Parts: sequence; structure tokens; C-alpha cells
Amino acid sequence: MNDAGTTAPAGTGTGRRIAFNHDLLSGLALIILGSFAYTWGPGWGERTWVFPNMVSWLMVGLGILLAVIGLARRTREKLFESWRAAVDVSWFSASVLAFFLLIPQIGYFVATWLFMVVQASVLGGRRHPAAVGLIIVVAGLLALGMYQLFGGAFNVHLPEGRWI
Amino acid sequence: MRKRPRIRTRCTLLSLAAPLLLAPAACASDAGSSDDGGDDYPSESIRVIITFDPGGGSDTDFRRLQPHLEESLGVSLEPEYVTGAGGAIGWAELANAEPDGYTIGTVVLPHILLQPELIEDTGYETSDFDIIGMNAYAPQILFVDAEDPAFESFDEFEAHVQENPGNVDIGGAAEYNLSHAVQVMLDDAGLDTNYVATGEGATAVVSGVRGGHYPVGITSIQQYFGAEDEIQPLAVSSEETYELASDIPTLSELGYDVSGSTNWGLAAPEGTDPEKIEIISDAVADALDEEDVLQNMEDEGQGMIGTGPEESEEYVQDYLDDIRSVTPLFEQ
Amino acid sequence: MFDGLLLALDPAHLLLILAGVAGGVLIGALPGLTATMGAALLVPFTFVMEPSAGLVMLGAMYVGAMFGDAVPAVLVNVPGTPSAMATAFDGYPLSEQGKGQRAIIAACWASAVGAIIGGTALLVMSPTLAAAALAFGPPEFFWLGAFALTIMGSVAGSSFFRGLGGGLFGLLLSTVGIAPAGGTSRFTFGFYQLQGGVSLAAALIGLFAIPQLIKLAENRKQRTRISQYVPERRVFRHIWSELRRPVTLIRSSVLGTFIGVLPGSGASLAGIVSYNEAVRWSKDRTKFGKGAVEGVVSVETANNAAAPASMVPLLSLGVPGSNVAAIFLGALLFHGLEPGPSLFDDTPEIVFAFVWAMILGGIAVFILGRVMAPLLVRAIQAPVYALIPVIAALTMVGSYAVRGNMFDTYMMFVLGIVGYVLMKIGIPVAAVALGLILGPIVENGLDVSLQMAETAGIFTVFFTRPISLVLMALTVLSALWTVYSNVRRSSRTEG
Repeated sequence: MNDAGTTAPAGTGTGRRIAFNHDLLSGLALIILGSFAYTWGPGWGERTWVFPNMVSWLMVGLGILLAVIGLARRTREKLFESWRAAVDVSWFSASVLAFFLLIPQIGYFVATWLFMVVQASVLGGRRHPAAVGLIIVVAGLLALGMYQLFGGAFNVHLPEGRWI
Repeated sequence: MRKRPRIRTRCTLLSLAAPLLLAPAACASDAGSSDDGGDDYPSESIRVIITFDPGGGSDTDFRRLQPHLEESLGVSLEPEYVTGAGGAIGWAELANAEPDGYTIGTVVLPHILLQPELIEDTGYETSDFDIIGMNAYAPQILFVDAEDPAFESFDEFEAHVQENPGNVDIGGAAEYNLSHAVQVMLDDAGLDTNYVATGEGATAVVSGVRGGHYPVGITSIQQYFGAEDEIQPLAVSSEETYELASDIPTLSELGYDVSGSTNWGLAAPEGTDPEKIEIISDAVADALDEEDVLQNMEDEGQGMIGTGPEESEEYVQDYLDDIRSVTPLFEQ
Repeated sequence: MFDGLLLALDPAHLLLILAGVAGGVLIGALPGLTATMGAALLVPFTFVMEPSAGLVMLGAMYVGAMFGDAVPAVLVNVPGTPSAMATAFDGYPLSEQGKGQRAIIAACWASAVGAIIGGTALLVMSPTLAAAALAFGPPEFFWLGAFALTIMGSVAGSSFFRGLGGGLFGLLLSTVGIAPAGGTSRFTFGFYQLQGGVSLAAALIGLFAIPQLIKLAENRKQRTRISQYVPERRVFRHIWSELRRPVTLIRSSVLGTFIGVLPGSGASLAGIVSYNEAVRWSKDRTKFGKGAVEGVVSVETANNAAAPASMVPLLSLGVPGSNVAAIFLGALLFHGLEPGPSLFDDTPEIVFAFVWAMILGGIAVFILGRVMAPLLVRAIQAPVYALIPVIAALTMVGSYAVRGNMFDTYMMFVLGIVGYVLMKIGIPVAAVALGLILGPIVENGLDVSLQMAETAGIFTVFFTRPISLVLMALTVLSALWTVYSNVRRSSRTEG
């Protein structure tokens, strides 16, 4: 039953692709998370820790099982198409994070407007100046519309910055 | 007999005195609003942090005042529900808010006293608040299911517990709350029961008792109002007979010198301009005179406190002293 | 009963029902805004209305919100409220295949049927259901949660064990913050904002939306649109062909009604359990998760049936079974109506008007959804480069709206990145979300049962209560079945 529990997706890695074994990776992740969670608490015995401790032990156990399965199988599943894709993903995530971090500084409206315009331009590639103008207008209207909707109708006041 | 610790609440006394306290306050606010040139507070809407879900005790306490406060302050009050961790998240938010008078929040005793003492990293201290006023209170009741009561009276319950010390379940909403405090005080006074914390709020306690999962429950008397046919109180934890339910015997009448009640009020972050606090507290005092507010309190089973900023500081301090005498009991 | 219908059919009331449903759909569809919040916003308005008018509008709003949350789940894989989580499992794949319209109309259908059946149950069998709900104590909730955990098998995707791992991680996440019944903080890393735990609504936005966004950005060269719009002329025929056998509808409504009645468990659990059973009893299990209309239908029927059903404890016991019910309780009290059995005797027409409003709300949902579906589906025809920033902004607004707090937005983002990494190493985020939802139910059931065991003994508490025994047997059977079917499936694909 143990090794029959998993199925390997067909695509095994070749060439420049970044590929690794899913079972081994997730097994290791579970072992690390589980043992971290267990050592965080005061150990076995306290009532409020019974449940988290149970869960972390199960995680470690399952992690070991998965790691063994992964080592036995040695299949490799694709993680990224290429290093380039991995870098792209990091850039995109960083830009979203930057957007969130900017909000308390410059306020929801400006940050969102800026973010929408930049993302739409970068993701969409180069294009006609008129199109960029359209993006700026539409993004502004969307950001403002959401601000008004949440503030006016639902009493949720999105963060304001120094100016707006 | 040695003196037993108790949570002394001055509610009954203070609610009698309330009209006296309110009278000068009401005059002050009348004078203030007519020719108050220099100070234009409040000039924009005020954010009100409510630390429990809509429909809870804090929400009810604020909502009934809201229309009157908006009318007398001339600006809108915008409730914001910042919930979680038994209110602690919202209180941390309130404690860290800008003390400019445009953020206030609801506070509850004994929660804001117990949490900083007993929980790590609560994110606030009791002293982080300037109380605007304590408005309403409600004692706790020990109760059984009305249809199929496990005990007909408190005496029967007491006798059963004495035969089976530590072996009778008594359901309450959470650990380290007022229900738990009353239970440990009873424990200390010789009524040794097993506290079962449901972790899901007062209504879960009522359902648990009605479903027969534990024979006796302990929760705020508010749960009894509107459910008179469903649950049967054995005792109430008010210091004196509770006017809204005068037929329930108090714990002290039953031989246990134990009392305590939940208190609701409003507070501003520490450092808020006392004049601004005064303006809001005057408006609150006026609102507490309104017919519909009083009626609503009665319907909800709450009694009135009605203390202004200064009396409230003292009130909270007294409550804290009482709480300090109880907290060591939790450890046992 | 029919006086109530007449009262609800009053033209002014019909208008309020429509307004309530429309408002509810909007609130449900905006991530971060929940039916509870909608009800809290509406209550002050109902104060100035006739009692019946106010309640009618509240009821309709609730039903509307329960459908509205399916819309973003289908269109962009972001459940509007936690109860639509399982809607996204099959709704979004449908959308990707250009069948978003079908998914939305199916959700509408299902919601209407669910609301009608749940509402009818509320009308005719409240007292029975309420008695059943009371019989559910902490041990029963523990076993119910454990039973729902066995669903891990049907959301596990390619690997059962990795799915289980994701579920365990979700359970662990659910323990962040102050322990449910105690004063111990767990895994708060010094942040007071984490004392209240990981906000479920914000976490779901992060887990579902952020990985999806990153994936869209990653593949934007190959895929410039989420889906190609294919105008479907015979939507109804397609849906009808799926629903010809009403088994799914009936099973889902019954499950939704029963689970909805249980205090505190609510619509999310109903949707999850119903989805699991739809998968379990289907002849072709492999189609689920890849765009099965039946999957969408099972979830939406159940969570909409749960909405009226969650009013059962309030109306017949006077005990609010959910946050929304607690707000309704306030509204009832304000109008001088005392909830509880006497409500049916004293002012039956108002109660019935309220219940009818939920039923009629179901019908209004149907009409509204039918009209809006093509428009909504066209909205996501926008190119990916335009959609990504809008969805990103929406995740921010949604996570912020939950508690009016930037911390939740940051937490949402962190969980989103974690979700993306998990997805990359083959752990399904749906399993994590499932663990997060079920964690508190299981843990609290376990914790309170253990406290009860101090007087009664562990054996008595866990193994001698009749309902517990049944649920325990179901849990064990379901777990064995999950393992067995996964083994069979994988040996088939390999052999």
C-alpha cells in the first residue's frame, strides 16, 4: 500500500528544466515543519498542546514515509520550465510584496494605481502611447471605484497615505 | 470563617447613584454645545473598534448608544469589528491607535484586566486605555436545563457536589474568563466542580447544557433573558438581588461569599486629550438617559453602571484589586 | 404558513427581497466581505422598517451572499467567503475551459434549490432538527470533524500522501494563536495580531489567489487569457443533462440542512462534506477537480441549504447557531420579538414571511444569476496582463477588509507564497485550506471531550455515546475507503 499511494506525473525532467522529486521534497518539508512545531511547544503533556503535538508527530512520520518513497522512486518532476521562469516568478512576487508594503506609506489609492499601471505595462509588453494612456485612466478609475465601494457601502476604509 | 476572595462590583450601588452622576454631566454638555467656539472636536467621523462579532455584548452595548451619540456629537460613528482571541486583537489595535480622539473602542471587564495578566504577548496593557465610561453590567448565572433539570435547586446541586467532589461538570465559555473566575472562587469556597471550557462562546454553553452534555452551566445572565422557558437559573453572582430577575437567589444568600459581573464600556487610547474624552463621555451620559436605551438594556438583561471618566478609573482599579485576589486561584 | 407567503409576496416586500439578494450577491462576491458583515450593515436600516420588512430583507441578503461567493471562486479561483472554497475546486477549471457561464448558472440553480429545500426544512421540521442539533456534544463534533478530514482523499490530486501532508500542515496552521479554551498562545512569533489565529478568510484568499496569480504571470507568454469565451447556447441543456438524476441535489441539500443546523459548524463544513460525498458516490471520480459541474452543484446546494437551516436553533431554541443568526437575534429583539418556540405561536406570519423570503430569495438568485452570468464571464475575457493587477489589488482589499488591518494582508501574502511553494512540490493547497477550516472543529471537540473525560472517563466520552459511535464508524469506513480507492486508482494508472 505504501508505494502504491503515489503516482508519478508523466513529465520527467530533461535538460535545462529545473526538476526534482516531489515526494522527497514534500517529505523533507513536512519533517522540518513538524519537528519545528514540536520543539516550539513545551513538549508532551500540557492540555492545550495535545493537538498541535499530535499533528506535528504525524507530520514527521508522514514526512519520513514520503521521503523514503521519493528516494525509492527517483522520478523527477518539473519545477520550472527554465531558470529564467524561476527568476520571472521571483520578480513578480517581489513586485506584489512591494505593492503591499507601499500601501501604509502612500495610501491604498496611489499604491494601487501605480501598481496596476506598472504591472499592466510590464506584463503586457511595449505598446502604443495611447494604450498606456488608457491603462492609466482605467486603472485610476478601478482603484477609485473600489475605494468608494468599500468605504461608502461597506464601511471598510482602505488605508490612506500622507496625501490621499 | 476566613474572608473569601471575591470580585466586588459596585454596579448595584453605582446604578442607584447613576441619576445623580448624570445630572451635572447632562448640564455640562448642554452648555458646551451651545457656545463652544474654540474647540471644534469632533469634526470628522469617529472609528469605533468593537472587539467581538456583530451581535455580541459589546456590539449591543455600542449599537444602542450609537444613534444618540451621533446626534449629540454631530458626526457619524463607524464601528469596525476587530475580533479574535477573546477580544485581545481588537484591544491591541485600540491600544496602538493614534490618541487623537478619532479612534475609540468598546472595553469589557474583567477581560481587559485578566488578559494582560494571564496571557503572553497580548499586545496591550490595561493602562493603555483611558476609560470614557463604563455603561452596562450583567452578573453570571449558574443554570440547568428547564425541561429536564439535572437539579431542581441550588441546594440539591450543592448536596450532589459535596457527595461527588470534583466529579460534576460545569460548562463555561472559556478559561480565565469571569465564569471561570466564579467557578474557581466557588471551588475555593468548598464547592469542588470540574470546569469544562467550551471555547465557543456563551450560546454553546447553553446548547451544551440543554443537550445534556454537562449538567450545569455558568454564563452571563443575558442568556437567560429571552430563554426563560429553556433554562432554569440556580443562582446569580450579583452582590445583591438582581433587579431584573429578583427571584433568582444570589450566591451570597446561598452561603457563598462570591460575586462578579461583566462590565461593558467605552475607552480611548491612552494619551487622548481629556477634553475630547469629556465630550464623548457627556454624550454617553445623555444617551444613557434615553428611554429606548434603558428599555434595550432591560430587554438584554443588563443593568446600568453609568460612570464617567474619573469614576471609571477608580472603578476599574477596584475591579483590578479584586481580580488580583482571584488570579492565584487559577493556578491551583 | 400561507399568510406568511402572502406577506412575503407583498409588492414592497418583493422589492426588498430583490434588493436584499442583489446586495447579498455583491457582498458575497467581494472577497473578505461575509454574510455576517452584510447582516451587521443592514440591521440599522431594518430598525426603521416594519419588523416583517426588515427580516425579509435580511433573509434575502443572507441567501444572496451564499450564492455570490461562488462567483469569484469560479471566475478567478478566489472564494468570496470560506463557504465557497470547495466551489473553486471544479468551478475554476470549468472557467479555464471557457465554460464559466455554465459553472455560474449551475451554481445559481444549485443555490436556488438548496435555499428552497433548506427553507422548507426550516418551515416544516424546525423542532425535530433543533432537538437533533442539541444531541450533538463535543465528542460528536470531534468525530464529525474527523469524518470531514477523510475528504483529504478526494482533494489530494496526484498523491494521497502528499494531500494528507497538506492537510496536516493546514491543521497545524489552525492552531496558531490563543488555544480555544485556554490562555496559552501558540506559534505567534511575537505578533499580537496572530493571537486570534490565522484569519480564515484572509488565508483562503492567499492560498488560492496568490499561487494562481504567480502561475498566470509565469505562463503569460503561453496563455494570454484565462479562458476563451465560448458563447454557449445550450447551457441549460448541458446542466440539465448533468442534473437529470437529482441524487446529487437531494443528497447535498440533506447534508447541507443537517450540518447547517449544528451550532457553529456552518456552511463551509456543509460544502466540504457534500463535495466529498459527491465524489465518493460518483461513477467517474476522475472528472472531479478538472471541471465537473456536479462538483459545483454539490457544494452550492449544500451551503445554500445550510443558510436557512442555521436559523433553526435561533427560531426554535432561541440560541443563535451562527454569527449571522446572532445578528438576526438582535434584530428580532429590537422589534420586540422573542425568539424561541413561542415565536411560532405568537407571530407566525412574521416568522413564515422571513422563511419564505429565504425561499423566494433562492428564486431571485436564480433569475439574477441567469442574467448576470454572461456579463461576468465576459469580464474575465480581459487579457492576463490586465487581469493580474486587478486580481492582485482585489486580494489586498479583500484581506484588508476582514479586520481592517494590513497585517492580514501581509499574512495573506506570506501564506500565498507558501501555497505556491507547496503547489510546486506537489502538495495541493486545497488540502491545506481544508485542514485550516476543520482544525478548530476537531481540536475543540477533542479538547472539550478531554475535559469532560476528567469526570466521566475517556472510554465513556468517546466510545459509548450513540451518535459518536455512528460517526466514528463512518470515519473509520470513510478513511479505509479513501485509502483503498486511492491504492486501486494508482495501481490502475501504473499497471
